[in-house]
Amino acid sequence: MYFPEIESLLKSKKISVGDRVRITKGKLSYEGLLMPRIALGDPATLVIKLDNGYNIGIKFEKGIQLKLLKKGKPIKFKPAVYKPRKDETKPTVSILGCGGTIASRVEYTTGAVFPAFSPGDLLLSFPEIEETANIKARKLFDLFSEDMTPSHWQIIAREVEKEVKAKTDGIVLMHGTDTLHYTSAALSFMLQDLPVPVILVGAQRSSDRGSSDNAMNLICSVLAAGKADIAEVSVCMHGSMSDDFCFLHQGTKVRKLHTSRRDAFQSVNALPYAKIWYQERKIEYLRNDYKKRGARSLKVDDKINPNVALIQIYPGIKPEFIESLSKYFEGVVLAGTGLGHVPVNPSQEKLAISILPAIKNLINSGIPVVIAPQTIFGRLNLNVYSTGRLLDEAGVIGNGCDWLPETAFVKLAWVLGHTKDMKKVKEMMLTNYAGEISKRVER
Amino acid sequence: MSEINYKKIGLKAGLEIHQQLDTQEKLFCSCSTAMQEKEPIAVIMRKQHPVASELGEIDIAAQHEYLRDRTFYYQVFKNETCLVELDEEPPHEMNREALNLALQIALLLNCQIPDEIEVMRKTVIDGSNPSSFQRTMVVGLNGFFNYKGKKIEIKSVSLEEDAAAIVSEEKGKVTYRLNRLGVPLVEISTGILSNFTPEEIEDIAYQIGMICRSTGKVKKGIGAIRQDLNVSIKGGERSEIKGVQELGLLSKVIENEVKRQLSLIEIKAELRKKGVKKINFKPIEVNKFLQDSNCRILRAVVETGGKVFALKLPCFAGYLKREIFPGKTLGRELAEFVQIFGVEEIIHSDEDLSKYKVEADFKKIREFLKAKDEDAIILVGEPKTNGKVSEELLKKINRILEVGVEKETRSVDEQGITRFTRPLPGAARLYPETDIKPVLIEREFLEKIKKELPEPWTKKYERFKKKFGLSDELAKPLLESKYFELFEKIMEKYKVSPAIVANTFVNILKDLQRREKVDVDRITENHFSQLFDALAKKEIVKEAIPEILKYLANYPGETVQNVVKELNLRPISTAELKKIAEEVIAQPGLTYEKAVGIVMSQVRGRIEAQTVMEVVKKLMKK
Repeated sequence: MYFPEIESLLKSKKISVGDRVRITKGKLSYEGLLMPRIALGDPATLVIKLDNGYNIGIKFEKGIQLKLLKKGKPIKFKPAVYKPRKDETKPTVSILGCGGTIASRVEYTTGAVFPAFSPGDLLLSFPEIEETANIKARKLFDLFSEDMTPSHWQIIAREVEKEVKAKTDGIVLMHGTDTLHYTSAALSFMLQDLPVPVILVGAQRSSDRGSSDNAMNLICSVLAAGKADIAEVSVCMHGSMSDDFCFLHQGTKVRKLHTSRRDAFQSVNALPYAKIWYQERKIEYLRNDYKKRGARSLKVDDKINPNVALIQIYPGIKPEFIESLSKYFEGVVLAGTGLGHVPVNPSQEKLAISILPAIKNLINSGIPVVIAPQTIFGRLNLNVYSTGRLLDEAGVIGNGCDWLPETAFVKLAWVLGHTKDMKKVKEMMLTNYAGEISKRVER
Repeated sequence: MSEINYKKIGLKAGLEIHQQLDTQEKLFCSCSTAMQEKEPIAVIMRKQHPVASELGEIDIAAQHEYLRDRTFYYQVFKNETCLVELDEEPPHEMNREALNLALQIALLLNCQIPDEIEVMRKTVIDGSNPSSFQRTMVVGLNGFFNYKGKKIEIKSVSLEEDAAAIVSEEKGKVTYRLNRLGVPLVEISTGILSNFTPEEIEDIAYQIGMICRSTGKVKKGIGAIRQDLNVSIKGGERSEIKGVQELGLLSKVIENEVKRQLSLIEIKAELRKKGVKKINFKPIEVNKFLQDSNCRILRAVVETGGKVFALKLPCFAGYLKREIFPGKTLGRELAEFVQIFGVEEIIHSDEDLSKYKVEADFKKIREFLKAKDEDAIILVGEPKTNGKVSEELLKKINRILEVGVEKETRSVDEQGITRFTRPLPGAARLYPETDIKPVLIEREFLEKIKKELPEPWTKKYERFKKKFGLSDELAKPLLESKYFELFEKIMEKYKVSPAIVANTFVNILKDLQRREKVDVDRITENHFSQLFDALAKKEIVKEAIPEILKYLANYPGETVQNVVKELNLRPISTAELKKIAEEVIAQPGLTYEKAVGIVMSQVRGRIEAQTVMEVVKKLMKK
């Protein structure tokens, strides 16, 4: 948006974005189409698109003259017509949009990007997905994934249920990448006895560009959703920086481990289920310990208590801070250092602190405390050092587990949706519902 | 062709000069711009995918056609490529050193500078940018400079990322090296240049290049400056010729393009006179005549399930072998057109049919098509495209008959020969680069840059010539070479003849490189300092220079002093020379030239050649 002064001047001259204008400042004058002011620029500078396609900025100053030369044509998107096809030899895949610009249409004049969710738009951009499946597509909501909350996980679970009831052969969820692994973990707990694959997919690079990873990721997801034998919740994203294959990661054992790379998502303490080779359209299974496709009755257990905190432990963390958690939360996950440690200061060193008393207070007041590794990789072990033993004795949950901090956070919220009884909470947390705890790790 | 009157034929040209800047870092990341690494440390494979715009199907279908069977391989180089070039990380803040240089160039060209610089994305689908767009921004508009009393219009000056350089291309696999990607490039576009000769246009390009060089921070060497041009003549059409790397070829390229357009106009006129306005004869499949063909190429098509099509072109006999410009016949031009559709070769009746062993086949086909002697036949082998390519070829020939010349993009090779390039579907789109903040150009900042503008090269050149008393033959190439700053340093430090130093940089190094394949880049500044220091102290004579430099290039760890000892290049006195010369001329029957030759071979590099000649002359007179 331009400064209010500029906006009102434009309004008074009946000039809107897309109109051809002449701007004169002293001896200089420029002609072009008025462009919208994008968020990062100076709101006191007018942006016009010259005839050579380039934009320039002209500062709005005293003495500037603005003239409307020609009204612009409103830019209309040619609607993408969807011709429903039903190829009996192909599986049906339902695509649900939760956000993320995996598919979009770009209005190149202004550079505006409009997310595309309709089947018509998806097939316009990615006709290849119809090679492997009949497509049904609809939008659930359109959010940056960092804005999502546990309520959204519940909505998605119920919508997946609808599709399963409608006898789909597989479901693809288009999702922003920032918190995609939180959603995949949540759905892994909520969707029990899945008969078909549920695959989350996103795009690391924006979809206005032909180099985006969106096409490959989506095409691989649809292939896997329709044809893979893996009736689990999984995540389908690039497996390397090249466009050679995607990994199908287990939903509770995957994390975004890079801010921007295509292969940001990596399996942690587990192997991915499969490699999906892009150009060959081939599924290469890496494991066989998954539920296979079959006639099963999906049970949706979406009870969840969102009042859980995920806290990173760091040197000098204040005991008062831990104490204060009881005011706002009903469960706490601590991302501990090393094997699952927090400051406990067993030797009573003068400058050191202990948050053990604070933790004990939380537990005694009925707030379960779960430990997870802030190292991400590796298994917790509270038996090795005195720190760990003190935590274990105090009733902290998680000894021997190799869950991700984010997965532990989601799981605790889900468990607390079912019970507040501390014994039951511990029992449920230590039960392996969706592979979140692995018995053995080879690397 | 007789001398062409360029004014009469209405030659119009437009120049787009691309000059690489010699900055510490790239435009949007901190990689080095040195481009020196030879071996890649990794190769990443990518596909690109069409993007739907407001235009919908039309636009995307065309892109699909182009991208579907193309795979791109990107070579990564240590220190010179990072995640930004690989499109694995968003761009970093704009390199201010590059922006300042671009603004300097814009101001030297008298441009208006916008109040705010907006970075744009320009879509690119040939794979030369892994992000599938190029980042570019306009920094100057509506400039000019004076050339021979005329005002040359400079439409715009832009700053942008250079593209990845192509390493190889074969059957849908294109390999690029990413070290060049992201190097800052200044693009200068002129207005339409009319009423100039090709030589003048080349000179204008040269002038623009030298204005850039005034900043002292532009890259030199092959590929550092590239020219694109638009050429048209009256009755012709604008053709865009991309990538002229050697400035010296520019006038030749323009001349050839003018000849090409004139030829096509001429051919159209002649055929019209013969009554040929449009060819309606559709291409016909002729597989049945080639079952027993002796031609390997055609038989291969037939045997693998493809189809060979014949086109009959009335009255075209002789036209296909006509040269439309030196180095290219009409037949070759059509063959190159057809290559963009993936067909390798065509065979036409104007060629030496015995070369392909197709005389018998052509005879049969001519009979079948009822072709007259004045008609030409073209055979197109289509392994997979079932006649589509032949249709396109016929359409192209009909377009020649209809308009003569059409708008197109051409590329150019090292000899200055152009060829039709694949037409990229759709016009390039420019839309905002939303990952980079626009840059406000504050008035005080602009004033500061104006005050610190470098000396315009014309002034520098004159000053240079005057100060060092150099001729144009030495001054011009020296100023253009990468050695001129070093030259100035040397002249400041040592008392040596400017002509000798200039000659070393301009001629001796070039000769060593060209004739003896010496890698002169291994000779360091230090070496040159030692060399001219020795010369100033009379520890060597100038004749020793080539040998010393050659040795240093092969053994860069050595010092000049050691080399002089090693090669025995200590100067000799006139007395010592006399002694050697006396011994030589003592031999009977020697001519003066022979005697000089023998003496020289013994004292080469140790005394002035002039002195040798004088001494031998004097002695022989006796």
